[in-house]
Amino acid sequence: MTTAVSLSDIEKSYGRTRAVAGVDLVAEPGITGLLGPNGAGKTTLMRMLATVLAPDGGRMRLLGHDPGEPDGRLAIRRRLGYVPQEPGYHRNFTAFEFVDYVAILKEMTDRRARHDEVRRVLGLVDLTDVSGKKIKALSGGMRRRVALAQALLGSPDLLVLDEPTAGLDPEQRLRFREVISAVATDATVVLSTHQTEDVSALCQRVVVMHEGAVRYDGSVRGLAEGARGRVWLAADRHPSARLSWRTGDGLHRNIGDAPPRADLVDPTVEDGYLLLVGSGAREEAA
Amino acid sequence: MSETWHADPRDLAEYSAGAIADARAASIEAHLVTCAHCRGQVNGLVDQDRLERAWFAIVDTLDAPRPTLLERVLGRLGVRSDTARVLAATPSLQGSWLLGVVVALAFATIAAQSGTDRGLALFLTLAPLLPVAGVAAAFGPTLDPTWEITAAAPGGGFHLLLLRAASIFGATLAAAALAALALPGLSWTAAAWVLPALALTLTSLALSTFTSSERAAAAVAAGWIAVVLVSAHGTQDLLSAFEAGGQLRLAIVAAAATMLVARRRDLFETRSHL
Repeated sequence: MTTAVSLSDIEKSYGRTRAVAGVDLVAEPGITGLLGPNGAGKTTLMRMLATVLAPDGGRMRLLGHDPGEPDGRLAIRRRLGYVPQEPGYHRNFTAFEFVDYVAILKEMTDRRARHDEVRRVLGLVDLTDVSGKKIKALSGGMRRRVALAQALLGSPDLLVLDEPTAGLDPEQRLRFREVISAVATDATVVLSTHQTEDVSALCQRVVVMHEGAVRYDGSVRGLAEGARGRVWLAADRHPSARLSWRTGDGLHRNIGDAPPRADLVDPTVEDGYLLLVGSGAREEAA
Repeated sequence: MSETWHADPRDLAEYSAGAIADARAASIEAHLVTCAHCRGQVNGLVDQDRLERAWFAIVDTLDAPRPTLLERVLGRLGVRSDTARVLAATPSLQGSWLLGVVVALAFATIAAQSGTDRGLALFLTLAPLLPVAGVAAAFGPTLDPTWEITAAAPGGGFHLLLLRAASIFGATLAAAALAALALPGLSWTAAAWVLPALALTLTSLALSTFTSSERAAAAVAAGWIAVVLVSAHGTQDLLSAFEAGGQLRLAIVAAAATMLVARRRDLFETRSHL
């Protein structure tokens, strides 16, 4: 079977800023989470995966095709669904009209079949009841779901979702997880997010990006385990803690090099992530 | 309300098959609304496939996008409904933009009514810039809110760009042609802006493979105005840029820009900068 995403030594710079610095990434059917702070290069990488931005260097194969070749790019786009970080809308369109518009761009020429597909994807994201409402009248969370609906058109083999859960309330996020986990049984989903909860709940694999480079690529459990022995609770912030915050029960959760006899606790994915990208991570990586 | 009588089974069968006169069909429908027994009879007689098709046709009619004025006009011109929808989403084919074009042309036409070369030069300089601005606004991140989703779709690349550019060029050309008819003393000057419009639009498209479409359009506009002014200054003739020599040079520019657009068309598909 062809590897859905295969990136090797991908580079992208804006002027003197290296947004993506020698990234290698392989993704197969299932959900791969891309985690990183603002400015880590996630969106640049997602745009390259969505074929809207060309890399400056490196080798890229998506669904077995080279996006740098016109025929390959067209073949990829025919099997691709994409939710950009800031999906724009024609605000005077209704939700149905907007998804129908994207369906036309996705070469669905038969009107009846296209409308059936539009109804299907709007149903998947629970927007059937508001499909006739203008997008400008929808809430932010509903608009995000419209963006997800258009990405699901035609049951794509590769779904590139750039922060798709931003602005969704907990119930909507749950629904999103249901939809994406169902889709990912056959498709390859690459999902970028700030939310470690999304990664824990959905992803088989997580890639942590920081300053344009991959800092971790492995299982979700492995990311958490990376912080084992380095998370402890104490009455105060400890001087050796790289990060520390006061939790709801009044104790400080310290992350860093634990002192002897520290009250160590089980690490979470967030702990592992913060250890990689939080304050002081750069010095350690160097 | 419950009915004390029921429709003749033969009438129900004919009604279900769609083989009954309209007046009797209307009578049976009125009865069916209030008679659960006869509705049950009809339920067993109706072809389920036909019923399903009818139901989906109703749903589809309710859901179907309402064509905008522009889509209806395009439909009258023989444009397919899906193509019309894609064009209707073009920022520079929206009503407000087109109104701006009409207003700009109206002012230029009024200026040209003075009968002086200065007024005519203003019209001839402005008219070619309108499609340049329209085409620049038709694609790219600044004015098309859906550009990123559009760019990742198989039908959203160079083909869409050409479709939109041609439509905007056509629409602006039509508006400018009507305005040109109002110029005083109809002569060759009424069409002297057409070739510049084509050359400048193509040059702007070619330049947009190097920078953003807005910057490309701004550079072309500034360059064009400079050419008109320098040409007028050098010859003491405000209209010299629009005469035969100028038109020939613009034709060469148009041909060169066309070749550059064709050569660099891949950059309209996948951007190297954002």
